[in-house]
Amino acid sequence: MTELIRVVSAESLKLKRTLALRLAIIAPLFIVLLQFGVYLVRGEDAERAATNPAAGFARGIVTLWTLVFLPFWATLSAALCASLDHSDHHWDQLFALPLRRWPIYAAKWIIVFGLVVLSSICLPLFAVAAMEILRQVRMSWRGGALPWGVLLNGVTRSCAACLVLISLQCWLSLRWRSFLFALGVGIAGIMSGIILFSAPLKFLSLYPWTAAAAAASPREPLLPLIWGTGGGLAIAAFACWRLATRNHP
Amino acid sequence: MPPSLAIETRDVTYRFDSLTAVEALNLQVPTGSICGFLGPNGAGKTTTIRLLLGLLQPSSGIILIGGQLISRSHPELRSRIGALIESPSLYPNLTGRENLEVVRRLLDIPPANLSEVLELAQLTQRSDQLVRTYSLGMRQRLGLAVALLGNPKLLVLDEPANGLDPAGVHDLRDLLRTLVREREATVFLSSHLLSEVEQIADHVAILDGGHLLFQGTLSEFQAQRKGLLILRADQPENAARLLRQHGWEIDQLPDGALSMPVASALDAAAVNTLLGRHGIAVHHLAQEQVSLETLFLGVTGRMEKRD
Repeated sequence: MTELIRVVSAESLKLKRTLALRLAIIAPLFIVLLQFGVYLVRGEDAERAATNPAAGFARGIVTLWTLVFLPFWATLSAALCASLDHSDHHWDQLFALPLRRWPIYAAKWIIVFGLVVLSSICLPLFAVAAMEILRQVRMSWRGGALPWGVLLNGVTRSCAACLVLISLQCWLSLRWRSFLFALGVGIAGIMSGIILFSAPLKFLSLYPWTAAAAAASPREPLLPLIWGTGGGLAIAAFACWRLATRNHP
Repeated sequence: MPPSLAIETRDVTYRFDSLTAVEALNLQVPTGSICGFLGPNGAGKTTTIRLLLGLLQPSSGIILIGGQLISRSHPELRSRIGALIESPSLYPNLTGRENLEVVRRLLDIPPANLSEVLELAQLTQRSDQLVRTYSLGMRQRLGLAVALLGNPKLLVLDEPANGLDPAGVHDLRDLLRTLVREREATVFLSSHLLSEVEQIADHVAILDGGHLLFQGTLSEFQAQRKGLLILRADQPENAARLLRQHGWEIDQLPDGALSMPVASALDAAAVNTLLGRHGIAVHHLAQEQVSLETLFLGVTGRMEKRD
């Protein structure tokens, strides 16, 4: 276990000044700014009908995040973290150290999941900040409670269910050197997830690229949560074993 | 009592697909030596190094490091080894010190070692600058510092002088000599440049086509080189025929001179006497040493191909 902690500590240092670390904050900020811009542009009249426009604002952010941005961010962060060691014989150098191989791979999973968690913490904070600004400038927003429940439920559930996607994308990114291959698979998965969004909820719960969105939905979140976390951990364990036992070319 | 061995391989073979990269390799590197691992490109040097580091599993045979069997399931043995594989593996987004810190955290080494290896690699002044601003020589030195961080007893370096300018190569040699002297380390360095190895190594192993062609001390290797006698005579054809009749191996050079391998100056005198007795006037007689490069090409069988 101490070996794994040491590798995670080293991996976290490798993130310093990387695009991956910057994007962990920029991605949720971008969504919130997008939604904020939409609400600002469309004017107050459109919001008069809603009893609590802040809840609609929060639901919109959660949907955007879980259906598009979170799967894309999980794909991108896995590819970016793996690419740190795909050049200059980094794997050789790491494997030549007196360390077992599985903690080296497991640490990558933990770091990618950590980046997703960081984004998931930033998202509700940015969203609340944006809602506070809207409350100051919009009469219709005043008086209503901030929808913490919508935000926190959606973000925590989607973050946990996203583990299955993180595991798949980490496996692809670590197994193959090509950055574009892992990214291409991820984008294809996200696009097909959007197209299939009207499919039965059970399918969406099991499809790795929509499991996060299904878990954030108030209807039957249990299946995507169990599959997302349990399946994600099982895939991560299997992938670590497969990667650690092969001859590194 | 035989010297203890830092590296020993016993009948190590490594195959991938239908290609045999290394075959029945029996390498022996004495503890405390600087062993030059020579061979042309594609000889199997890097594969051998990857086998020694446990990056590849041999198809057959065993590898002993410091007398202990190396295996992937017991990585602790690798704490004795520091490695630099081809180009140094560095993170350009981190400073030199941070790159070392990554390895320090991985190996759980006291922070004091960091400054020590930076000093040794002469990088203390630039240690807080990003590696992406480093020159090739500085990166190579930092790569060495990374390899030295765990205070290894065995340093395995794959083409460490690649891309270094003459001053960098000189510094590298000094650094390696210091390591052997002060830390009693063993250095195993691969190269395809004989001149580089000749100036630093006390042992040599030569690999070609996955086969070990020679291993021993540098002086044993050098002892293999015979002198070459170059002579010019007024009747070169007759001289060549006469000498061949007396058992000499004669090569006729394009300018009419004759060359023949000789063991000592006594042979030169004997040749001169023989030709003079048969009325052939010798007007040039000189003994030349075969260069190490020529000897290397001879050992690896590449002299004929080149000719």
